[in-house]
Formats: sequence, structure tokens, C-alpha cells
Amino acid sequence: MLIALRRFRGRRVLLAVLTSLMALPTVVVGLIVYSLVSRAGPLGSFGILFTPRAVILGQAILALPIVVSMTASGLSSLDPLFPEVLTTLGASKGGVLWMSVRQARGAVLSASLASFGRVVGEVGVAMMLGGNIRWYTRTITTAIALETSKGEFEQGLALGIVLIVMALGVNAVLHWMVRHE
Amino acid sequence: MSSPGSAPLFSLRGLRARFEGRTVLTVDSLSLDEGVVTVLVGENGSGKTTLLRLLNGLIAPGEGCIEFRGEPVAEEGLAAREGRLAAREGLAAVRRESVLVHQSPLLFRGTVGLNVGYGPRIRGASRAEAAARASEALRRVGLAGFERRRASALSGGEEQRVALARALAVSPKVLLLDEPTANVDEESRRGIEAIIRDVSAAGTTVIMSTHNMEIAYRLCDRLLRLDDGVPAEVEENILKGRIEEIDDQFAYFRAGDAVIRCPARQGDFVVAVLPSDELILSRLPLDSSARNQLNGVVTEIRPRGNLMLAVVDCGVPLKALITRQAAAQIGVAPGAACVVTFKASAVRLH
Repeated sequence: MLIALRRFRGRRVLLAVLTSLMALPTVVVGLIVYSLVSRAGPLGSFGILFTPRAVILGQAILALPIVVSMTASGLSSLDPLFPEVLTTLGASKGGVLWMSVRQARGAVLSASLASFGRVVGEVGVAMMLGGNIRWYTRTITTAIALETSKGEFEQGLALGIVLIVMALGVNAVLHWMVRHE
Repeated sequence: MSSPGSAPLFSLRGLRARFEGRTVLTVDSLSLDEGVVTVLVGENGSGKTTLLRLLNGLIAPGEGCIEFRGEPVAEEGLAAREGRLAAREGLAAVRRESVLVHQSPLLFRGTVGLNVGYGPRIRGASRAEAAARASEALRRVGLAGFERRRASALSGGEEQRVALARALAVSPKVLLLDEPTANVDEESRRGIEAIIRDVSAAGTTVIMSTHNMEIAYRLCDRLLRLDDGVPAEVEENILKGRIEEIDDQFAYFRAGDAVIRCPARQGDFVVAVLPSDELILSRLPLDSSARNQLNGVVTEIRPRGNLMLAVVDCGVPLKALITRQAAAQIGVAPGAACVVTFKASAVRLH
């Protein structure tokens, strides 16, 4: 997926598609995956609907376009001669890729934070694929939705604060890690 | 190390390199020797960088063959897949033994130590060994103790030297340098020149490009000019030596056993350049205003286009271009004694 360093036919089209997929509504992803993994769907035999696995699958589909397109644009901001410098110093193809990602780690960080943000605060997929089952597939967001619809605003608000603190914490830790690498 | 008489370090044959549909390099036949400093000069876009990248196996030529110590590095880009397979060993050897330093330093983010230690590390050295090699390489470029500085906080000249150290850290047998002094000030230029001289004295083969003729003359053992991608030897006498004496008219430059009068100029000169077509050959001393008259013996004569190139040993070999008619008239033949005459002002000191 990090073939962002290469220039191949259809690369721009692929990037355009990925960029528009970043705006994919979460309920649509939920709906599509639902239809795939429900008992009658093509992947129904795995029986993963309303399990954490289904939620993970849906969230991965949501995160992938963000990670790919932001990492790709980060890598293409490196000097075009950069891979050549690594090669002449003795790096293999894998070594070139690894060092390029490390050099573009600002972009990789933004990509992970953006996708984390999209996934952590998302209700549609978690609700539709997980089913909001207590102690099993209930996430903070689905819990907030539930508490609010029950009229338990205090409970919902408290959970919301927990979610915000968590998001801030993860951001801070990742930033700190990149700074001190 | 190859013994004398074995395959040259690099040999190129029938090379056509195309870049975006344009032929940027055409080399019918060229050998590059080990243990010397070969300098490529030419305008921007004359193919210097392309040649260096080809030599390092970073790009494949469209046509033709490059050999490193007799092993093909790249062959016939048209049959790229098979060519590349056949070239695997030569390519591995050239990558192991040579390093290219690009024109712009392209340092990695992070510390100077990380940059310079990268090569040894990726080639399998332990962390401690890589650090030791990095320190040694930094010392060689005059940046001892810079390991913990951030690469982004260096001056232009320092960046260039770190890029050099990064290449030296892998102890290359062949150092390929693309315009090592292009982006630096005069003082750093002198520093980089000294480093290259030092690296060459330690036995490393240097192949470098530049469009600074001063640097080219001062460093070269062999000078090649690239014109629109076609390499040619430079038809000049490039004499290494030093100034012995200066009076109010002339500087006396000693090269080999010859002393040449040059216009008086102060400076740290190591090279006298004398174009081959400024030399007059005669049987007897001429009664002329030219201030240099050296007695010598013709050692070699060979055709060069419409002209003849005569090599005359005057204590140092001098190449003179003369017409066939003139050669016949004064009897230029190997073993013949003759007088070489040229004006002091024809000599340029570098």
C-alpha cells in the first residue's frame, strides 16, 4: 500500500477515489458490511454479525482510505531522489520503504490520528454491526446514544467526557512519541 | 584491488541513455581506471549526473553495457528483465564497493550521527561499530564531535560535508561525487577539495562531476568533457607541480623536470594548464617573443582528426597539436629532438 513512492498508471485516479472514500458516511459502510456478513449475505457463513469482529471490519474499512491517502501524500512530499540516496548507501527495497516511512512520520502520525478520530467517535458502524450488546459490543458512543435516548443525560455526558479525555490522551501520547524518537 | 593489466574498474560500451524521450548520454567506448581521480566537466544537462547514476547501477541504460571489474552491471535495457538477472552479480559488487553522493545533500531528519551511521548500519554493522565508523568519517571531513547535532541545523557547507561523511562511513573503494562543491561558499569549497584529495591519497578511486574548472584542474588525474552527452578527453596539458620562484615578471612553475614561465601571480597553485594548440614545435630555437622555449624529444605521435598529436618529453611530457604538413616539414617522429615554444601568457595557473 505504500507504493506511493512509485509512479504507476492510474495512480492519480486511485488517489482521487481514496480521497473521496474518506468522506464515506459511516452508516453506508455499516449497511454494506451488514449486507455482506448477515446470515443471508455472501460472508454470512462466518457468523460474525453483531460480534466485535464485525465492528473491527467495518472500522478498518472506514480507516483505510484515510491512512492510505494521507501516508501516500506524506511520502510523495519526500525528495524524489530520497530512495536513491538510501539505495546507494546500501538499503534494500524493504529498507528504502521503512526509512521513507520513518522520514515521513509526521504524515504517518497525522494519518493514524485522523483515522483514530474517525473511528473512535463513530456510531453508525458500531451500532449496525455490533448491535450495542451490553458487555460485548457496546462502545462508548453507542452507550451515549442509548443513555441519551433513555433520557439519562448526566450518564451520557459523563461518558462523553471520558471519550474526549481518551481521544486527547491518545493524541498527546502519539505526539510525544514522535517528538522523542 | 585489481592488478595492473586486468579489467578496468568501469568499462562502458555502446551506451545510449534516454531520459523522457531524449538521449542524454552516448558513450561508444569508455574505460575508467582504478586509483585515480577522474573529473567530468560539462554544461548543466550534459549528462554528468546520468553517467554517475548509471555507474552506481541506480538507473539502467536504454542500450549498451556497463561493466564493473569485468562483470556486467546493466545490459540492454530493452530486454530489461533478463538483462537485470544476468547483471545481478556485477550490480551487487558495484553497490557494495561504490557510493554516490548526490548534488543536494538530502540529509535524513534526525541527528548527524544517525545520518552518517546509516550506511554501516544498513550494511550489517552493529550499533556500536556504526557509531565508531560515523565518528571516524566525521573526523575525516573535519566535523569531529558533530554526532549529536541535528541535521536540520547545519550550514550549507556542513550539510555537504555530512553527506560526504555519510558516504565515507561505508568505506567505499569507489566514491562517486555529483557536483560536490556546487552549493557551498568558497571556504567550504577549499575544505571539500582537501577532503577529496585526502580520500584519493588513501587509495579510494574518485569519479566526480563539476562545472567548476578550477576544482576540476586541481583535482583531476584525468579530465573528461561531456558535450551533449558525448564524453571526450580534454586536449590540454594539465601539469601538476608548484611555483618555485616569483620575480616581478614571471612565476616559475616546476612540473617534473621542466620549469615553465607563467604570468606572475601570487597564490597556492598546484596546476599549470597549457592548451595543446598553443605549442609551436621547431627544429631550432625560434627568435620570438614567446618566453618559454624547452628542448625535448618526441616520444609519440598519433593522428587526432585532421591533425597530429605529438608528445614531447621536455622533462615533463607535453602534448602538442600540429598539422600533418608541419609535422612532415620539421620531421616530427619518435626519437627526434625538437624545441617547444609557447608564450608565458598561454599558461593558466590553478
